[in-house]
Amino acid sequence: MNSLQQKLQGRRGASILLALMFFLICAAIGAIVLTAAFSNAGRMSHMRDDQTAHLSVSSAAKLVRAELADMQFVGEYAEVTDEYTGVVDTITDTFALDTTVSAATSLTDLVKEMAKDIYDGTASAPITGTFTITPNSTVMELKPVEVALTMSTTYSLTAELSIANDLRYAMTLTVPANTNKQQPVNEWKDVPVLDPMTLIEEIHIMHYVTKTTTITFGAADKITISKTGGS
Amino acid sequence: MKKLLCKRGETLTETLVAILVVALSAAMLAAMVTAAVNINLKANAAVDAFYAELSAAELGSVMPPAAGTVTVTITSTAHSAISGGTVGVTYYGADTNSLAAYEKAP
Repeated sequence: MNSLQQKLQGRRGASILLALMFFLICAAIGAIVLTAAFSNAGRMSHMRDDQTAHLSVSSAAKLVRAELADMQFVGEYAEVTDEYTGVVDTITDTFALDTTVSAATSLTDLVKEMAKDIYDGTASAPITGTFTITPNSTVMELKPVEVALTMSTTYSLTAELSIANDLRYAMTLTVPANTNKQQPVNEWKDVPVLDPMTLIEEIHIMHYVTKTTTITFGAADKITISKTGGS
Repeated sequence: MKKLLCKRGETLTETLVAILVVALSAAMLAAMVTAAVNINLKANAAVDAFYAELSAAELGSVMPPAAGTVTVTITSTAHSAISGGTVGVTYYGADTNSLAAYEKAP
């Protein structure tokens, strides 16, 4: 400490001090330049993981959009009322995918189950179904994507897609739905009915009512995909 | 300031040591900058390759596109009666083991 003080207060040259100062400046600049270079190189490894996850989710979103676009379900209900006895019989009660528009897959089956619950009135709140899309390519870098599909009481769908336990790359797909309830078709027919007591054939007026409901999901250009994750 | 304006000299040893320190500092800085430039060049090459892969995956430029499937597994317990299945897709990527994307097969 004394020698340093002597040196500072001495009347002799300062070459070493200046040289040491130059050394410190060089070391600081070098450290900054190297740190920046390493940080730039380290960014690459994260970019690859990020893009793999992003491509996995966006590919799954496009697949779900392609599967759901233009999907159509037709619900048919027909009943007959014997105007004489008042007895009502259900003739038809079906709810099916219109296979002339889209082919049946496990995804259409899932949507059909959810839509049928709403169509039947057994569900009064939005219904959620979940599924996983797993790429079967062993050579491509793609991850399985989890999808939560929620159907509102108006049949519109919202699909939330994400990598398992990682919401950074989450995407949301919104599918509008259009419900078309046709005017009930009423028809009256005179039908001969055998009275079980008298075994005499009587003519009863039968009132036939047919109701058709068509649920159509939006075309691909009406389905929006938005990024909801943080990354 | 007084020290810097001082007109008195110093020993030859001190001067030599100072020159040595300055030379070593300059050499060290040059080595560090060279290493940083090399690291940056490698990183830039990796970034270029990465974006080429990404473009191939996003624009579907693989030749020819690889046909494949994805498996859909229904996981909600309320719909466990629905069996899963596979969907035909087309995989896009620059090469195997590269970034890839897929879309529903036409």
